[in-house]
Parts: sequence; structure tokens; C-alpha cells
Amino acid sequence: MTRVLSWLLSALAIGAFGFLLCVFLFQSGPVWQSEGTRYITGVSWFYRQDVFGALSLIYGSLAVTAVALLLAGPLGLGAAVFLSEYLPQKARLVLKIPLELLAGIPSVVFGLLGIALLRDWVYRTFAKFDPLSGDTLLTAGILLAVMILPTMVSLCDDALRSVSGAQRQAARALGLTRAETIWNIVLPQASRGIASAFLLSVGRALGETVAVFLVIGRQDNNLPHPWYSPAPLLEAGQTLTTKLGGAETNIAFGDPLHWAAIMGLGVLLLVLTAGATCLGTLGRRRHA
Amino acid sequence: MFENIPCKNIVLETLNLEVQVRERTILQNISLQVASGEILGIIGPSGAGKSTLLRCFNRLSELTPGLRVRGEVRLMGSSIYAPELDVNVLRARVGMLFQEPVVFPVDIRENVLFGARRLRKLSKGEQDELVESKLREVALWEEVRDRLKQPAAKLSVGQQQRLCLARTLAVRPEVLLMDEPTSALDPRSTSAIEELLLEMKSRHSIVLVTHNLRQARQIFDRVAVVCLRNGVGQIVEQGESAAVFNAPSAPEFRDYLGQASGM
Repeated sequence: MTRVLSWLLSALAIGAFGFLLCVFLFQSGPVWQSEGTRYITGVSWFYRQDVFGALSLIYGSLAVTAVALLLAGPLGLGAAVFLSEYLPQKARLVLKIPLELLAGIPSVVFGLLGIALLRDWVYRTFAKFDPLSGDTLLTAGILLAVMILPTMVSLCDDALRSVSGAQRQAARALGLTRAETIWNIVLPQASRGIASAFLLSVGRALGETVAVFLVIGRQDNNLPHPWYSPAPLLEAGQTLTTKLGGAETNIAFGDPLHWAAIMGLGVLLLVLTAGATCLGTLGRRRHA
Repeated sequence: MFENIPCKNIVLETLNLEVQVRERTILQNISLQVASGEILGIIGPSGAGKSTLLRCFNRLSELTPGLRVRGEVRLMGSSIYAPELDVNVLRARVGMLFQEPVVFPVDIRENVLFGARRLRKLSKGEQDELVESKLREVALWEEVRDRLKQPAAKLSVGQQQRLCLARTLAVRPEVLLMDEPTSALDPRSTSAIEELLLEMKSRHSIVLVTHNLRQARQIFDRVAVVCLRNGVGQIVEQGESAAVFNAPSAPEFRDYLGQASGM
């Protein structure tokens, strides 16, 4: 009975997601017809000329997410190791409460903090690269890192705690130090859970809108030349979500092709976040 | 009651050991000695603190929050609580086997090498040699020689426990602590382990906690009986195994024997 029910509910959830995706795909139909694969690989987006290439938006989303993950990943994992392996149980539980509270702060609040504190800091710190302003992809990435950090720590901590104490004890009894035990026993066994913590954080970072919106500068068509150049990180940019959150979305609704292009961004976003979250959840389930 | 062992090398001894959890005393007045080449058994009812006592001998007790140990434990005559002593080196010298076998989620070979490789540099050849000799020592070689690269978790529980023993032996401990090592095993694996213990005791002193009275009578050389007296675990009787079992004097121990054989 429970089994049937859980299958039913899973099917329902997948069905709902599929329905959503279908709506987006259907509404974005015209742009795929008119642009084809250029919609994804095209480097320019000028809606007045009916040119819709989303590559710079995909780049923006991935760049911002990568920065966030590079900063929050090691820091979050490190904090989780400290929390789970070094702190006494009580202190760990006490610390987890504010951590989960932090994860629940509305993102617009983080955005405001970003404007108030982070923007100027980035501008001053990287002054020798001569950025136009403090509104950059890097700023957005750092802000995102701060935002996903609590989730990262919490999920990594869960992954580490799921390694049985008997394993730690057996390793210590063989004469391994605490650090060696963490490195050789705990981290390898928690690697699945840690990977899924990263992926779930990626899902969250890709989907985040308001906070990024406030500090990214919202500059279209910003792509690196050559492709690996880090220069655009210190320039204003645009992500899938900030594009969708902007005024252009309302303008687009009157024009079928333009609207299709906007809905197409929704498709890309859904696929990316759902992909990351699904992979992450799968890993988490198998780990547990 | 606490007789000394004359004319024998004392490997491990405790003097007036006392253990407290927060403010509560759970073990007190523990004085015992383990000579080289013998098996000292610790028996007694559940909850008397036998496992805790065992964990004091390699300072694994320190991993349990809130536990305080007072008194003296000496390994080869020197205190294991000496400030200059490296506790991780101590734990390599005093090996431990747990109630449930704890294999690491790597292959059989890696399991044997796990602790040893950390303590000394081993060439590939030395590694192979060590793996084979230790697996032979625990009578597991013939069973696993063709699948050293397979996950250790695939072995039966009895095989896993012998693998854990091989892993512990590979770090060349002077003393082996065993916390009911056969309670999770089937009779065949149990007797395999028991034979190993009798064979190994010439090379390693062994401290063995068990609930199995048959096992205790058969393989202990000497025995320390840990029972609750006034709510605190203490040694109520100790001495040569045969003497203690044939003429138990402490009332707590007689109760325990009565209950155990009545089961």
C-alpha cells in the first residue's frame, strides 16, 4: 500500500514537472523554429532585431554558479568537517540551528546586503583591473556563495554524520590520527553525500534570481574572448534568471517570437536546475 | 585477593584505576596485571564496565565525551598517560578487536594494509608479503587468496572478524584487546578465533572480554571478574582461571555464574 502510494505520488510529481516542461516547450516553440540550435549557441540577443541567442545568458548562469561553488564548496566542506568531526555533539546541534535559519533568509535581503557591502568591496579590491562598477558576475558569484554556504555546510555535515562511528573508532584504534581518519575513512565514505550536497547547491545557485539580479549589472551579450578568459567576471553580465526577472519579460508578452524566446530561457533553466537537483537527490538517496 | 605474578614479564598493568562519567563513578579500584604470553580474561555481568575498562588500555576511552580516567596504566613499565607519549603510537602498540567486525569499505588487501602502511614504508613486495603472512596467521589466506581485490564487505561475518584481526596484527601490537570478539559469530568461526588466540598468545599478550563461560574456562589463563558492588564496577575476584571458576568466592560472581548457567 505504502509502496503503491509512493509510486503514485512520485508519478504525480514527475507528471507535474513534465506538464510544466511541456507548457514551456510549447510556448517556446516559435523560437526553436526560427532560430534552431542557434538559440543555444548564438552569441547575440537583440530582441528589436528578432535575434535571440542565449549563449551569454547560459554563460552568465554557469560562471556565477562556478564562482559560488568554488568559494562555498571548500569552505562549506571544511566547516562541515569541523562541525561533524571536531566539535562536541552539543555544540554541533547548537550551531546547526542558526545555520538552518541562515538558509531561510529571503534572498532579497542578501541582495540588499550585496548592494550595501559587497559591491563597493569588489570595486575597490579589484581596482587595478579597472572594472566599470562593482556590479559584476564576480560580485553575484560571491553573494551566491554566501547564500548557498549554510545549505552546503548542513548537507555536508549530514553526509559526514552518516558514516558510522564504528568506522571512526576502528581507525583510531589502529593508531590513525583524527585527521588521518577523516581523510582515509570519513571523507571517502561520505563522498557520495558530499557530491550530492554540491549538486543540490548548484541547483539552488542556478535558480537564484533576486539577489543576483541586484548586483550583476544586467548587461546583455557579455561573453569572454577567448572563451576561457576570466575578464567578463569583472564586468556586468546577465544570467538566465536575471534576464527573466527583468522588464523585458513584460515587454515580450505581446510578441509571439519574443515571448517564445523568453519561455525558451525558462526551458533551459528548468532543465539545468532539474538536472542538478535530480542527480543530487539520487546520490543522496543511494548514499543513505 | 590481588596477587602479584612473580617471575613473569608484566606487559600491561593498572593501579587503582578509576573511571567517571561526568560526576558518576562507574569503575573504581581496578588493579590488574597482564603477563607476556598469557590471556587475561575479563568477565562479569553486562553494564559492569568491562568494555569501558578495555578502552582505558589504549586510551580509546578519550573518544567518549565526558569520560574521566584516574589512576595508572602502564605498558612495559611506563605510563600510557605520560605527557610525552604519542597516543596514536600507543594505539598501534595496543591493538583492539571489537564485538562487531568493522571492515573498511575497500578491498581485502587494502584492509590488511590499512594501519600498517601508515606506520612504516612498505614496498610492493613487502606489502604482498605482509598481506599473505597476516592472512595466514588468522587462517584466512586459503579462503581469500584468489579475491584479495574484492570488497571486504562481501566476506562472511566470521571471515570479516578474522580480517579485522589480521589488520590489527599487521601493525605489530604488543597487546591485543578484544571486546567480545566472537559474540556476533557462528560456532565455527568462534572456534576458529579461539584456536587463533591460543596460538597467538605466545607472541601477543591478550586481554579478552567475553560473556561466553565455556570460552572463558577454556582459553583464559587468568581471569578478572568485574561486577557491580554498591553500584560501582570493580574487580571482585581475580586469579588463575581454573581456581577462580572452580571455587568462586565473591557473592556477586556466584550470582553471575548461577544466572549464566541457568540460561
